[in-house]
Parts: sequence; structure tokens; C-alpha cells
Amino acid sequence: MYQYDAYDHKILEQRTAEFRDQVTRRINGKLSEEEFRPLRLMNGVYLQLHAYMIRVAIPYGTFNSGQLRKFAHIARKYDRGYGHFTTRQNIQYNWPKLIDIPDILDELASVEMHAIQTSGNCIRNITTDQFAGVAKDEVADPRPYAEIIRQWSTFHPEFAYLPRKFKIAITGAKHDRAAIKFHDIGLEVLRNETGELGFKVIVGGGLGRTPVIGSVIKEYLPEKHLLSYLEAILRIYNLSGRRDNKYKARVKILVKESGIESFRVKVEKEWRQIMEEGHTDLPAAAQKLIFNHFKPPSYEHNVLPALDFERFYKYQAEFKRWIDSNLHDHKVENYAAVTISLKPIGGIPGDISSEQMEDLADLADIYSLGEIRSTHEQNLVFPYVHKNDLPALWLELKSIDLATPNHGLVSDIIACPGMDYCSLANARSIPIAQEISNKFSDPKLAAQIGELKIKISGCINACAHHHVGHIGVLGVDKKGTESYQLLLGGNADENAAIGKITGPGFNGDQIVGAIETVIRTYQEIKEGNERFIDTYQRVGMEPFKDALYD
Amino acid sequence: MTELKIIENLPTEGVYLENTLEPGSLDSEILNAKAIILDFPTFMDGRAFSQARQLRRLGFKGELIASGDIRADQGRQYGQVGISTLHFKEGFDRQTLQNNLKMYSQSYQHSFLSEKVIYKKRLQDNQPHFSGGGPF
Amino acid sequence: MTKAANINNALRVIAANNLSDGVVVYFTGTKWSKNLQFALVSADEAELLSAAQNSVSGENIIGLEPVTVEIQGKTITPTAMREKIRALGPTINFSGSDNRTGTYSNVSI
Ligand code: SF4
Repeated sequence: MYQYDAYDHKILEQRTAEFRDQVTRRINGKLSEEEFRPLRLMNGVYLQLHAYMIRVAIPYGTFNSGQLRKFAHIARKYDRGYGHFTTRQNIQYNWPKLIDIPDILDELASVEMHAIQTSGNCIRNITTDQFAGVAKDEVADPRPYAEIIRQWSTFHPEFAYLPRKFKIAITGAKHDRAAIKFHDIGLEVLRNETGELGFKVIVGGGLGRTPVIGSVIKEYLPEKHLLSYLEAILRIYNLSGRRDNKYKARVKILVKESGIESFRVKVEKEWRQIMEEGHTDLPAAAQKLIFNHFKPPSYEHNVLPALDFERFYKYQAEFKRWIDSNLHDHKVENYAAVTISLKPIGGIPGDISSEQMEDLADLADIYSLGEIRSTHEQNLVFPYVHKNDLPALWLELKSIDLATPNHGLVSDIIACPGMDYCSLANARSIPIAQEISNKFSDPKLAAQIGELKIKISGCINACAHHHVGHIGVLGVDKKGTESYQLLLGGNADENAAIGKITGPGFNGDQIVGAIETVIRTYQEIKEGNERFIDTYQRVGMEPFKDALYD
Repeated sequence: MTELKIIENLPTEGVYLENTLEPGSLDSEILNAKAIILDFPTFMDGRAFSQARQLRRLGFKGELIASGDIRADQGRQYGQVGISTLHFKEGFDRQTLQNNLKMYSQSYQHSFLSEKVIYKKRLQDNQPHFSGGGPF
Repeated sequence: MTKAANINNALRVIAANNLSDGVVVYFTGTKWSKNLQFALVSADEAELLSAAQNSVSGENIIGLEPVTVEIQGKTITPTAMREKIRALGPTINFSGSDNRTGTYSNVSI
């Protein structure tokens, strides 16, 4: 993975000093709240329902055991002993004190981490496939490109006050695990007919109040022009994006209102000028320096086959379930990527305690070359596990309650913090997720139901991507009480689809029952091995509607 | 151009540029102006950052003035995109501005301030790209 | 019209956050308390808010906002769920390490 050099360190050092100075000036009254608020937001510090919240960037979801230990330490020393992994592959803390945040940033900087651009109307953390670099179906590792974009977008002076926030996602595989069609810019690494690497560029996707599937703006962008093309899109957006209405300020609205054709013409014109100017795209040699950080490991991780994988798989039902759901194909023979579910039955999606983080860091050192990934589904991944190690790893994970065999199943629910923490929420999300998880705690039942993605957002901001859940739940405010809309048929991958609302909403004690009805209906009408989403696509909304509202 | 000039009154010969102008529709006449005034109606409105970049690219050599709701904590940012002069509508803290301009010595992007551009420095260093930073 | 009249008569307290640590505090009439039960309750929102604003020095209390409450017996309770949660904390409990129920004992090899 990427390692900072002296320049990266210097930037971070200067930034933490700058923020410390800003906090000091605020506390001693030299800065007003009106002046300070945007400065803290620029640095991922929100004021939430109960306290401040700080969001730490995990660039493209890749981190190492030392960084995870630091997350644990910060949670224990400055927070309440836990952290929360978000749908943007970041980690956030719910209870820090403002006066401690400069120290937290120093701690983070010591392990090459920060909270830069995790909020505000700027280019946010770049997200990618959690299996980047190890996925079997990958054309190329997207992480070096994500790192190139990270550096270019860090403190980009021109793009710090965009009309609205700006999210970029990149995938290196045809099967899209990064939801690139639902980002402001989505990039797919691919090869052209002559085998050269480049990108398909998608623009103007997004969720929130107006969910939109992104449009292709460029079928093939040569690899070396990545940054100039991004800069062209950002510049046109910065100049022409709407600033009169917060809800119409994302690039998706600009693309929609001007039409993709005319937007493309403007972008391409600007792009040519940027290329002529010639100081945006990285020279090949500079690009290579970044690529050097992402060379595959040696994979000479010889282990004694002390515990027999086949034997475990055959005789230990729980292990088998875990393997069947949480294991992913790896590029390299005899290796696997393993999902570590942060969705224990009845637990809080994405939450993890300091102790678990520390234990997991030790396990990562033993079993995963010290590397960990965070996923947009609020889980973690060990990307380099040798097959022989799987039984041992499973036993260890089980002992710290992190071996829930539910990846991609009914209880692997994405839920935003909702009204329990978030000041923008209309309704709670976490208790709904917990109730569903408890109702479907029987692993055999979960296996029968098969792949099912439930996503619960506490308000229209859609942090939990409810529009693209196979089953989506949206919290709405009904005269001061919590109410929930139910959506069906959304999909975040390459077959992108936006879910449809079933009909009138449900109150807090009806919504879980409604979801049970939907699942039961699916089980009654499914044909063969159909997944929920396949059945929905075959039969549409009607049977579900009938069952829900008869 | 590390120092930014601070003015109290806008020069009479300055040409005022709307920040709502369509990109690419600049009248090339404007490039002959002695000074161009860019508008920041609120500091959150960043359009003029892009206008500055474009004007410098077109070869504008004169004074580029940021005017309106501009903030000392962003001093460096104005300079980085090619703005040469600041016209504060409200009072501001000179020390904060000076600190902000001095705070960073390098940038990941092309900059109009005399800063090191990191990727160029890396190439000049012409040596392995590891500084051994961090604990790993 | 009855509805509008109700809203005007509703009882309010003023909630805010403490600048340095973000903790939720309520205006007591002279000071700020973490405990909602010490809050000053009034039907005159404008007056309450301006008294609260005047009590803040150097902006060390931020995000002042009126919250609608009811008084049952001697207990002040916010009417909206959001404000209930804000006063009492999250309705879920992160049990962290208590959560660690897994053991080796139920694994048979
Ligand atoms: S979806 Fe709404 S309630 Fe949930 S975290 Fe986002 S803003 Fe908060």
C-alpha cells in the first residue's frame, strides 16, 4: 500500500498545525462560530445531536494494522471505546471534544492518516472496490489511480468551494463493487482494443433527494489523461453548477439540466486547454513512483497446514457457512479475501470496539500481511489470507465476535447512524436494523433467503444508499413521529437500478413486519435459485404490494 | 509572487468580472485590462477561483483582485490560483493572513505561488521514493 | 386557527451545545445545565431565546434552539423523539467488549 514520503508528511504536519491554530483562535474568541464552522467542516468535524463527530478519511478503504491500532487508541483515549465504519469506507467517532481534536489529528498524522476533506463542498475521499488489487475479476488494480487522484485533490485550491460535495469512485473490475454509477464521477479501469489501459468515465450519478444513475461522458479516456479530464469536469462544475438551491447543487443536476451532450462539449473544450497548458497530468515517471507502492506482495506466506481446511469445511457447519458467505475469490491461487462482518446479530452496523480493533490488528499481522480494507457495506476485509490459515483465522475471529457468517445476507444490513446520533435525521435507523437482524438470526433461514441487501437511511440524504438496496428503508418525519418508507428493487452494481416506493409508509412498529412480509412473499414466489433481486425483476412490484397492503 | 497585495479601495481602471459568466465566453478584450476584479459574494462561492485560473492561462498579466467576502484563513488559496491582490470588504486579521501564506511550502498541484510542486520535486530528487515515514 | 394557537402556547426550553466539548446543555434562566430538568420552561419563546442569547459570553455556547416540551408531574419531557434522544442519549447501547460472546468451547473438531 501507499507509504508517505517526506512531502506527504510535511503537508499533514502543516495542516494539523493550521487546524490547531484555528481551534485555539475559536476557543479564545478570535474566530466567531460563523467563521469557524466552515473551517471545522473542512476538516471533518461536525456538530451532531449529542456532541461533535469527527470523520477520519481512509483513502480508498485501505489501511494497515498500525493504523487500526491507532483507531483503537483514539477511540479509547478520546472517545467512548468504539468507532463506526461508514458507507464511504471511512471511520467516525461520535463523542470527541473539540479541544481534543488537534491532538487526535496529531495522533492520526503519526500513522499517515487525517480528516482532510471528509466534509465540506470539496472533493471527498476516493472510494473503490474493497477487493482492489486481489479481486480475481479485475482488469487492473484501481488503487494507484485512486492515490493519484487523492494527491491531486488534496487541498486543490480551486475546488475547495464547489457548489456542493463531490464524490469520486473507481473500480478495476467489470463487476462493480464500488457503485460507480452513483457517484459524481465514476471511473472504470479497462483496456481498449489495442490493450492499453484507460478509463470509462461516468458523471452525474448520485442518491439523496434526486437519485440519478450516472451517464457515460467518455467511453475511453487514456490512462495518462486521468487528472486533466477530472480537472476539466470539476472546473465546468465549479463554474456552472447551481448555487441557488442546495438540493440542486450536485453535478447530477447540472448534467441533467444541460444534457450530457452539451456538458460533454464544454468539458472536452476545457480539457484540451488543460492538456495544452500541461501541468495537470502526471508525467509517466511521476506516475510510476506512485505505482511502485502498489506492487503485489510476494505471497510467500508459507504456513504449516496445522488445521485442515477440508476437514473443517466438511464437519464444522458454522465454519462452512462462514466460508460460503464471507470468502471471495483471489487473484492468487490458494489465497482468499475474507469479509469480516461488522454486523453481529442484533448489533450496530459498522460499530467496532477498541478491543476488537486491537485484536483484529494482531490477526491482520498474522493472517493478512498486516493489511485491512473497509467496505462501503460497513464491513472489513482481510485481503491476503492463505487458504490453510482459514480455520485458525475463523476460530480467532469467533473468539472476538467477528466471525458472523452473513456477508451479503439478510442481516448484513447497511444502516446510517440515524436519529440516535445524526442531527439531520427524521427517524432512527439502527434499532430497525437490529430488529431485522434479530428476526432473521437463524443462519439456516438466512441461507435459504440468500443474497439480500437491506439498506436503511434515517433521512433523504441517503447515507445508507437506501435507493439501491434490494430492500430500502427511508426514515421520514410524520408530524414529529418516526415513519418509514419502503423501497424495493434497487441495485448498486453494474446493473444499476433505483428502488421504487411500495406505497404508503409504515410506522416504527410496523416497518419490520412489512419487511418480513416482503421476504415471505419472495420465498413463496421465487423460482429455483433466484435471488430476491431476480425475483423482483421478474415479477415487479405487484405481488409485494398486494401482500403489504391487501 | 509569495506576497499578496492588500488594497483598501478598488482601482478605478479595474474591470469587474461577474462570477456567473459562462465558462469560455470571456471577451479577449479583457486581457488588456490593467486590473480585473473577481467577485466572492460569499466566501463559500468558489467560482472566481476557476475564473482566476482561466484568466492566467489566457495570458492575463495584470493585477487580479479578489473582492468581497474573502477570508484571511484562505489567503494562500487565492494566491495559488493566480490572484495577486486582496480587497477585503470586512476587517481581517493581518497576522492570520501572513501565517496562512507562510504555513505551507509545497503543493500537490500547480500553483502560482512560489511553492514546490510535489510531483516535480519527487522527480528531481531522483532517488527512491521512501522516506521511511510512519511506523511501518 | 386552534392549531396555530396551540403552537403559540406550547412550552419551550432552549437547548444548545457547549463549544469546547459539544455537550448538549439547556438554559436554566441564568446558566446552562446538562440536565434538562433544570431548564427554564416558558411559553414565550422569543423572550426565552433572547434571555438565553444574552447569557452567552464570547460564543462559548453555540447552536441555540428552542425545543418544545411537556411537563408531566415534575418531569420535563420533549415532545419530539429527536429531542428526547438528544436529552437522554442514543436509544441503542454500544456494548463493545461485552459483546464478545464467542468462545472456543462450542467448536468441535
Ligand atoms: S441518511 Fe440522514 S440521518 Fe442518516 S446519517 Fe445521513 S444525514 Fe444522517
